[in-house]
Amino acid sequence: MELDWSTIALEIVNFLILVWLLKRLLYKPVQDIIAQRRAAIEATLREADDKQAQAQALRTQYENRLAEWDKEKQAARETLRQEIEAERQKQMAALKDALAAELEKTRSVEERQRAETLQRLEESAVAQGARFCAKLLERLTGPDLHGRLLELLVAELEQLPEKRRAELRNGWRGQAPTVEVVSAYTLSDGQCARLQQSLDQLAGAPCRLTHREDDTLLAGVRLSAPPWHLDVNLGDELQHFAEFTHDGH
Amino acid sequence: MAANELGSQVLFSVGPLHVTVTVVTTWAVMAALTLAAWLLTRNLRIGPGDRQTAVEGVVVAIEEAIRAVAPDHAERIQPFVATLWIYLAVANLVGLIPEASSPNRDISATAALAILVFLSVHWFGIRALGLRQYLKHYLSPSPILLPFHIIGEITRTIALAIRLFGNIMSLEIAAALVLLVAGFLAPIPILMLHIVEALVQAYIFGTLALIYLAGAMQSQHQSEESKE
Repeated sequence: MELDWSTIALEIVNFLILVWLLKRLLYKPVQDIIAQRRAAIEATLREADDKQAQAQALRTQYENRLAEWDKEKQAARETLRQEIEAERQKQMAALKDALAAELEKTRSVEERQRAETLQRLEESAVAQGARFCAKLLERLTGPDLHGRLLELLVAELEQLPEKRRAELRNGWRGQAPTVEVVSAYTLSDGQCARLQQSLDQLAGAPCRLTHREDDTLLAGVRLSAPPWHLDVNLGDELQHFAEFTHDGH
Repeated sequence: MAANELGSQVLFSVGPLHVTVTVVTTWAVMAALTLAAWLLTRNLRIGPGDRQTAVEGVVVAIEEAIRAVAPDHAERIQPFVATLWIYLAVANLVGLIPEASSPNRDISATAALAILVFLSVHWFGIRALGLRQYLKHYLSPSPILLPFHIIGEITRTIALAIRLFGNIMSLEIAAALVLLVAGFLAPIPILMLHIVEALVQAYIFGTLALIYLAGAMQSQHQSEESKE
């Protein structure tokens, strides 16, 4: 047993070469592939973490969105409720107005109908009164009343103011008019002369008289010299009374 | 062709260098390891198969063992220590092959490995700590201990070489004697013991080298810091 320095030297060199070879062919490739696998695993883990974070963010976003939707839905529901309430109030107010208007309209119609009925009743009462007066006057009237009405007419003509007389003459254009005399009874000569005299004085010239009888006048006369008319008789007075009442005066 | 008794037979010479059987056997082991490493690592994939898983398991186990002893310098010393373990395990088992003998039954081969460990200890120590700091640890805890440090360095290197040489040589001689005396069936347990002993010796040599390297790369200052 002795040391062989050649063997020692060669063994040292051999071992160093083997260290280099195994480092190049075994350790480094295996360590590299392990490092690559670890890197891939870490990348996968990072990716998984990223995806988990993204999923968490999406979940949070979705939950926030759901909460917002709930709030929006609640707000929309409240708005809708308020709108419905406002519309209901509006409709109720409109309905009340419509009812009030209808009630007012109905009241107006009733008032109008009542007024019309009352007017018809008044007219009817007036007409009946007029007929009653006419019937009564038909029995009460006579030549005496006729004569007094004629005297009243003559007196009225004679007492006409000068201004009125001038207006009548202007209406007749300064000419003697033709006066139609309608009487309830036959005029006597004296009555005709008094009437002729009064009319002549009124016109300022001799008038031409035409005469006819009309028993609907009951008593008195009706003078007509267009555009002037003068009624002094019971028939026309009753007629005028009825028309006056019908006009609401 | 010369031969020395417990040494190795010289096959040929190149100038002053005598190429012995030990050297040729070492070359064969190197070639086998290189070929195996190339075959096992030529198609590595991210998703490993059974073979790749086994290879990665061996490499990772060695790396973890080194990291457990020298966590700060594992990457630097890992190729040297791992190669020691792998080479010694294979070289120690060469004796099981008929008509072959382990290179480590040659004291010159184990001495070469011990010298390498000795030099590596200083090399890695100086690289890790710097020359001044590294030499300073020989004076701690007291300069009086410097001769004992030097003697310890030398004796542990000699012990490394002789321990491996003695165990492997004795294993092979014992196996040969049993084979001669008891025929072919009886030596099987002896051969099993040979395998276990070969692996144990490889582990011991590599572990001791690892401890020596780790001790050299850890300074006194770092030791004090770690104590604090």
